[in-house]
Amino acid sequence: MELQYGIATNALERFGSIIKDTQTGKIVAHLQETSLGQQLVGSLTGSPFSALDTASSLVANAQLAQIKRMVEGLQVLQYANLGVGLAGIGVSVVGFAVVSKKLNNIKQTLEKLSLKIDQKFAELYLNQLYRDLHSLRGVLEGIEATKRLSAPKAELLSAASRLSELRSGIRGHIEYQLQQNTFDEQLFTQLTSALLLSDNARVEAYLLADEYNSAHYNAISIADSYCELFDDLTPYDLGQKRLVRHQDLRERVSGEGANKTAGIKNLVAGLRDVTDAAVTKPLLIEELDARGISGTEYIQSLRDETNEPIVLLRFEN
Amino acid sequence: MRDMELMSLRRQILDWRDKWLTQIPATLEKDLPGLISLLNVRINQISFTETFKTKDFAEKHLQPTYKRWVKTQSEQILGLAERDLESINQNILDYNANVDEWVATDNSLRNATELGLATTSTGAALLGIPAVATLSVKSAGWGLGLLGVTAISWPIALGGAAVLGTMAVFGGSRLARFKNKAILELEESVEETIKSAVLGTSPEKPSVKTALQQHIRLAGTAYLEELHRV
Repeated sequence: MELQYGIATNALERFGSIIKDTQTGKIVAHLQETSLGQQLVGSLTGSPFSALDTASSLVANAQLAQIKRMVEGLQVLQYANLGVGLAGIGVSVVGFAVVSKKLNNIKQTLEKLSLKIDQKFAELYLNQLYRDLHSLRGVLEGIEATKRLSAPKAELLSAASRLSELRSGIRGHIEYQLQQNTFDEQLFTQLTSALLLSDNARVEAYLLADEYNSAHYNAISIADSYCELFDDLTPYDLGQKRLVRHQDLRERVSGEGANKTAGIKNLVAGLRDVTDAAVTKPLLIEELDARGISGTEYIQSLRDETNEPIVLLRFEN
Repeated sequence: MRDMELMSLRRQILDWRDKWLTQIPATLEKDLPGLISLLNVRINQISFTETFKTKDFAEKHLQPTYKRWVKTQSEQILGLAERDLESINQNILDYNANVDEWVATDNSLRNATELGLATTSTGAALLGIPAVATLSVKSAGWGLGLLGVTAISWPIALGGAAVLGTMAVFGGSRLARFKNKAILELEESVEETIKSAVLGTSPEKPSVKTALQQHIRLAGTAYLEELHRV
């Protein structure tokens, strides 16, 4: 409540996954989603980047009302549009079910897409994409399975390394989509979700292995790559590209124009928040490391929290 | 650029850029009907003789109005965008001031040089968007001008006739009808040309919208580069 009041009065402000003092810039708290928060955010994957604060049927959902109530004072609603959590740590808490759902969504989108583009090219493209996404699912399942190992470090480091390779492929798919003259918002969003999942899981794997230096290094590298990938995207340019696509497909452009523009705006706002959260994630890792908090214990405590979707971590000096 | 304050400034610049890239076409689209109405008033004052030389008429009577409108719109839009940028300017200057304090305790040549460069270029770059006066006539859609206005398609019967002769051949009411038709055609042609010059998307012929957006993009990039240098 104290923090919510601080934000409401502009004494505090949220940037990425931290809350800082507006005057001094000092970090007051880190925002961190719990197991419950991950599940709630994960449940949005069918409709990524939709505006939660609009009168959508999503908000009518009791769980979403809960997360909305919990986080709106902290101005983190935009995060819930991402299908991944705030700091993105604890992604494997949600685990296989959410990833499966995401992959199914992507598969459906691709099947629709394949009807509209050259069949041979579509087959090649889709095969590669399926392979990458199913590999991602396999690695994430592998991370989940390490919970049952007495000494999982080697498996966790191997998974992290594999995720690093897979993210290159997924990033390639995203860059390919962005190079096109048209813009498929749904496909782009789902590919981006897969990239975020992969990146978050990689950092989490290092944390679970208590390899803080690697977690920190990878978190910084991920933040830099989001700046490279997303900073140049603007709602105006993506909107223009999408308009071209709709005209190409002879879809109805008018009528729902306002909603579509809002969708792109939300998408870019979500990408900016993802980048900011990625930028601030190394700060959380530094704090955990400096205080000698075990990554395994930290993530376990997030898994054990079942009442609050988001917790605020305040580190005393 | 790992500093959290810098990243926060970076976000402010991106938000500013995104906002104005969208705001520019919205403002131009909203104000364009006013310009077209203004031009239509002048077109309705066209004389019968002038309908035979519509390009001359457009250059003499319409283009000045169009140029004034573009200048006013550009100044207003970029002025508002620049004002919007002032708070970010202040934040960057505040940040640089803090960085200068840090330099005082670190006299290494590397830091002194880098920050010296940053401070110098900040002074110039933070003055904001390039002055409106630099908005090139060619780059702002003026190059298209109204020279693209199509000639009036008079009926064939009138094609080779001298104006005075024509007036003698046709009765007053028919001439009035022809003139009205000419006015209508000119209005349509001017509207089409103006829309293209102001809101067009052709990369070969940059419109006013594209030119103004380019200023915003360049300013945004300059600011981001400035932050990277700090």
